[in-house]
Amino acid sequence: MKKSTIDKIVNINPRYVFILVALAVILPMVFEVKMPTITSPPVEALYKEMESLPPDSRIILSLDYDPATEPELHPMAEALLRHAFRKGIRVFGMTLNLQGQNLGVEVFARISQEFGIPDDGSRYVWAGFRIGPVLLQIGEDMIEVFQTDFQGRDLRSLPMMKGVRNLDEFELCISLSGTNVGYNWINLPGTRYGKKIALGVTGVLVANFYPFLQSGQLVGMLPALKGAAEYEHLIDYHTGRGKRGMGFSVGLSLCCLSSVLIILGNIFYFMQRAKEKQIEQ
Amino acid sequence: MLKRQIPLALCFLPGVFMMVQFFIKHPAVQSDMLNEMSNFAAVIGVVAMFLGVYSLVNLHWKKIQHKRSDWLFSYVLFGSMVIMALLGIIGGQQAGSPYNWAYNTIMVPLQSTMFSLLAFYMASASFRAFKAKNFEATMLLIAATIVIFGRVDVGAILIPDTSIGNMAIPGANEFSNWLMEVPNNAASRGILLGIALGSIATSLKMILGIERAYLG
Repeated sequence: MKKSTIDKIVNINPRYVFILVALAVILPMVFEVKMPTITSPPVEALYKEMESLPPDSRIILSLDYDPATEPELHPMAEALLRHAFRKGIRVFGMTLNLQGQNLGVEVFARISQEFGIPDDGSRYVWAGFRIGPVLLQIGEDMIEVFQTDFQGRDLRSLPMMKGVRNLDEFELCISLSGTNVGYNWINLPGTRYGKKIALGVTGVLVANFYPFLQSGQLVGMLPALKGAAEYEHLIDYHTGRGKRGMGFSVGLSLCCLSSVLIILGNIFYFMQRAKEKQIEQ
Repeated sequence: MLKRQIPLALCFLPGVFMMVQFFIKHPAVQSDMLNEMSNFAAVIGVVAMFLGVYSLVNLHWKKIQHKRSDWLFSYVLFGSMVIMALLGIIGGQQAGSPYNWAYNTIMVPLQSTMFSLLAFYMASASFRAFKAKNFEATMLLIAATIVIFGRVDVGAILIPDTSIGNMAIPGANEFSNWLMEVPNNAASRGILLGIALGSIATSLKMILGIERAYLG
């Protein structure tokens, strides 16, 4: 039996849709269209929390992601580091994801160079990955868990770690992740040790962590690439990867394409159903 | 008998300790014993890593031996594994090292590409599967479309906040925030509480030896 046009469209080869997605990503990058950035309450909350920290205070920035989610989460790490270094906040970097270790090496080295900060352990430390119940252990004795930084230098010998024993000496913990590790940060450093927690998460996880913002267990959150773009906007940095991703309207084109596809898919679905009813009658 | 009782005891004792230590605020329990237990967990984690490598090597070695489908790719896996290990052991992993170069120029783009393929499948699914077949599906469809527009800046431009007389009508951005903060939070909390209660029940069953499936 010959297929009608509607049937053909409803059962379209997915490759045609893939071409549209590719065009929706590539075209806005070629023809640059800048969009205004509107900030959301969770991002503003984290920004205000960082702003409220005095110079020389310490924070933990945990890059708990691997290369798969690097495009979405790395811009957040860059923006947070820029903000911290600009404000003179000292950063202890670590990861709970073995594959994320070298992402930290790269981002800490690059952003610290931008600010002319020497790698002498006075303003930042990249400790890397440790195996085991690290979040429980750092609440008790951080030096015992890590012992050395990623380069093998004794943590006790580094200026920013002088007087540090555990989480008590840190004002804020920020975890960037594409997994549910955020729950562990909320449960252990957050609930058990009473630390302020903020998260940066991939798009698919955003809805899961909203309840913790409302309950005050999270002081702020960066939701996906949009969150990174908003944070870059707040710190007045306009050439970051977050803004390139969202501001050059890739987000706009993908959003429009998804909406158009949903609407078209439903129009053809109802047309197909109406036709089937006609045939039945 | 020992085959059953020793693993059950190994599960029972640390399980009970980790539960009880939370309520005993003595430094000997909170710090010393907890640190010892955490060290045990770290050692188990390291052994599990070696087990993972052994399992992977074993699987791919058998694949090559029996020439199963795509067995040639197993050689690629072995090659990559050995090369990356050697680069790391010989040249270190610092910024500027050969290992770091290989990681940033090969592993990062490859894994990012794999993850970004999701966008293509999601777009295809929006056209083929996201249909208003019944009331619930229609509600989901409307909510999803509003959230999609609310999450990107263009939403606030296309559908801005407005008002009719004294009545404020939220735009895409504001309405999307409400959807996330009220209905989404209510549903997420329900799911989280359910997961937590289920986890507690399952953990208790394992600690008390009622659930023994993990013994094999």
